[in-house]
Amino acid sequence: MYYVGTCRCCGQGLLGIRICCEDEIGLILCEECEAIWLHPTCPGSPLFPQQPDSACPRCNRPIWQPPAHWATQAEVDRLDWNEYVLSDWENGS
Amino acid sequence: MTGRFPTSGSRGLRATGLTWLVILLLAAWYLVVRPMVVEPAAGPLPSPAPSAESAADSAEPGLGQLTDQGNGLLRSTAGLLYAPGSQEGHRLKHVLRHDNDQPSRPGLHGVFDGDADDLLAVIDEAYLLVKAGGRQVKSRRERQRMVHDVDLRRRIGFVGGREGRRQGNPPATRVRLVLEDDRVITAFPF
Repeated sequence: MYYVGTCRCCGQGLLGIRICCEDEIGLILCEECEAIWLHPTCPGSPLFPQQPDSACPRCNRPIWQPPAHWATQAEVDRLDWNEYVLSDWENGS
Repeated sequence: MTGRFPTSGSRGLRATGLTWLVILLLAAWYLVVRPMVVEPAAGPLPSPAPSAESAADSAEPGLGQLTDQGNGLLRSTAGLLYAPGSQEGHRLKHVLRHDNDQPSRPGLHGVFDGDADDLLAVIDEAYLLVKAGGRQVKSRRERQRMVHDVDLRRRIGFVGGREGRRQGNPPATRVRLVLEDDRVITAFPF
C-alpha cells in the first residue's frame, strides 16, 4: 500500500492510495477509520463511506471489495501522485 | 512530686516517643509507597509487554460479551454493534488488529493489554462512559460519525508501531472510539 501520511481524523491510520472502481479514480483512504479525501494533500473535511457496505462517496461501490484495490506503482504514476508518496507498506495491502 | 511517679513518668515519655516514631514511619510510607500504588500508569513501565491483569481485572464483569444477531451482526454487552465491513471483512477483526503490536508498521499503533475478551471489555467500558457522559470523555462530530476519546485513568495497553517503539512503547490510558450511532468503525488505545 502506497501511503501519503497519517490520518488526522483518527490519528493512527495510514492514508493509502486506493483505486475505487474500473474508472481508476484515485482516492486517499484511511485504512483505520475509512476517512476519504480526493487528493493526497487532504484538503478540508474528509468524506466517509456509507455504511453498512462502506460505499465509496464517489462511485457508490464498496471500497473494500473488488474491483477497488490499493494502487499499484503504475497507477500512482498515472495519477501523477508520486511526489506525495511517503513509502510502500506491504502489510497493509 | 517528681519522685512520686518516676515509673509512670518514664513510661509516658516512652509512649510519646513511640507514638511519634509510628507517626513518622506512617508519613514516610505514605510519601514513598502510596504514589507507586495509586498511579501505576503515571511512571515509565519496565516493559511494554502486555499485562493482562491491568485491563481485565478492572473491567466490569460481563462486559464485552457478544451476542449473534444474525447476518454477521454482533451486539456487545454495552450495546455496541460489530458488523461486516472494513479491510478485514468484519469490524471485530478490524478492532482485533489492536490486540497485537505491528512493530514495523509506520507511525503509531495502539495495542490493548490482555486477550480479545479483555479488549472487548475495555471498549465496552469506554462506551458506557460515553453514554454516561462526564469529564473522562471528549467527543467530536465528523459528519455522520462521532469520535470519542475516553480516559480510563489506568493502563489499558501501550503505544506500538514503529513510532511507538521509537518512543519506548509508552503506556496507553485512553481509548478512541470511532462510531456511527452504535456501530463500531474502529477502536484503539492511545
